[in-house]
Amino acid sequence: MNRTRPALNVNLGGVKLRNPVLLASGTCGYGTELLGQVRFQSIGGLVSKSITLQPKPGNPMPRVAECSSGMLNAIGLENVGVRTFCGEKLPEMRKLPCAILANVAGSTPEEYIEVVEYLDGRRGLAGLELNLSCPNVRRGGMEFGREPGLLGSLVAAIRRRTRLPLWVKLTPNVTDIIALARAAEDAGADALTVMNTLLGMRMDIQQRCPILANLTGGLSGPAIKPVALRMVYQVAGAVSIPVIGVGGIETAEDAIEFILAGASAVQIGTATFRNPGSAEQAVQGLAAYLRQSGMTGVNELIGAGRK
Amino acid sequence: MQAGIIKARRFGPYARLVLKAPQIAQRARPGQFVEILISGKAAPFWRRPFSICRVEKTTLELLIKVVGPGSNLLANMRSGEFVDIIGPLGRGFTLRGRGGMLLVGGGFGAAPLLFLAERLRACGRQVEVLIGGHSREDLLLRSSIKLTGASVACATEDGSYGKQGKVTDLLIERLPGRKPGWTLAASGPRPMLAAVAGIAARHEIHAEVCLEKVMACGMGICQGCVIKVGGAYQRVCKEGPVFSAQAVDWNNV
Repeated sequence: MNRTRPALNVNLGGVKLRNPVLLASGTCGYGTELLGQVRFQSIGGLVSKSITLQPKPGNPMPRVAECSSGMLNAIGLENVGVRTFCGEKLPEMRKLPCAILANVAGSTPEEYIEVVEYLDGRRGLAGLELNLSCPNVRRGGMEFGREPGLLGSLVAAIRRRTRLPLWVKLTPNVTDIIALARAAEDAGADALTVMNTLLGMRMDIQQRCPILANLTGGLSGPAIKPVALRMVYQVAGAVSIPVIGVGGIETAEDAIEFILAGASAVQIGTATFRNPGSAEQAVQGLAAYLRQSGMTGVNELIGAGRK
Repeated sequence: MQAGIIKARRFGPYARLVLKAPQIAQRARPGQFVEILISGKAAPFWRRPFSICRVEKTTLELLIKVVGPGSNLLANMRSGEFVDIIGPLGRGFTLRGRGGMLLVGGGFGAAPLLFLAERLRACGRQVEVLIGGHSREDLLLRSSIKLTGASVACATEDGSYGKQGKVTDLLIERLPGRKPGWTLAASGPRPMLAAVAGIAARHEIHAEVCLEKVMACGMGICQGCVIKVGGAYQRVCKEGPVFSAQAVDWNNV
């Protein structure tokens, strides 16, 4: 029996983490909201809410709707803007004992570039994640995320302006995610986050209208896990940069499925709303699984379920 | 955390649960709430927010109204069972000033007012509680509130108990001629709160209202429960659920 502790640390395109479990963008705020609920020293890292150039008030209400095994959101990228983020949020975030990544969104290439240039070189940032996939804002990045040519030129332009590790978060609301994944890799992305929410809708049968003021929203939660897993499997088979799996992951067993499919790490999203301890419990469960399987580290597990 | 139910009483569409939760009980302030994960399965998917109704040293009491399958499951739980609970959450009543306080509660919304009345009475403050509802069965907690030493007056729309009419009629009747220093706190349905805000503004009296809103996370993360306050979106779960009545944009809640 192998009694040594399995190595959980991973390197995700230059972002070095103590373990492969992060909190996903939009589900952990600016981190500090979860002080007292999440033990940050036990997780790998967190990805901030999407940051835009100007502060955004977000969409009208209602913004959220409950579903079976999941929820819809159409928050609309509400955030404090990059200046306040760097001036007020980041100084608090970097006190948290885990890796901090900033998620970046914009409505034009120039806006993405300006935000990235503003963030570049800031102390305490381990990397950037580009949101090319927000389904809830008319110009929220998803149009760049749906067309390989546009995606490639945007990622390449951003790549030239920062030395920070660059992750690209892809949307599942496309016919061919592989072409997009390859375009991002060719343009210099260091890792890919797969996937964002799936577009969905709910109706209010009393008022006879959509529940969300935005009409549609992004579906998250365990309901989308099989779709995310399939997309991670596809993308991991098509690129050679690390893939970070996200979509409906609640438990260590869920995380292990994604790692078997080829993910080098996972992000916990909506699960944190129900159980803020999900990420930490996933880390513990993963370590136990590796130990029981006699594996020396998580690297042995990555892609081990691929055919 | 897991909290054991030590007392459970179901009455009609309501239930009162007493939970052993020392860490929450010791920190809780009137107006704050807890989030309960009712089932670990597909639905209800979100936690559900409940106002803290009363606190003793190591226990807290919640008032549950059955409005759907989730609250029904919770209302039928028995003592000895456990619930998965997070709290205390949000910002409670400020308890500012030293004068008397008029509390206005509508139906199920009266839940946080018991806790508030207890705390105010413990500071030796004068408390008058006005409770309204459609009929007698909707006047919740009135005997518990009386036991705090607060004076209680009721209004029912069908006239089955107390004054016939709305609780806000009662408020209008009782406001004039009060000494300066009295303030208002209200908790109940949205239209009642908006009416209380209007009355408070006309009488130039400070009022705080406790709002309810559907919440996905309850912890200030998701920005799903915002309302317009002072022209900007604020989170009911974090900056609230208690707001200054004058700051709330009542057309955008």
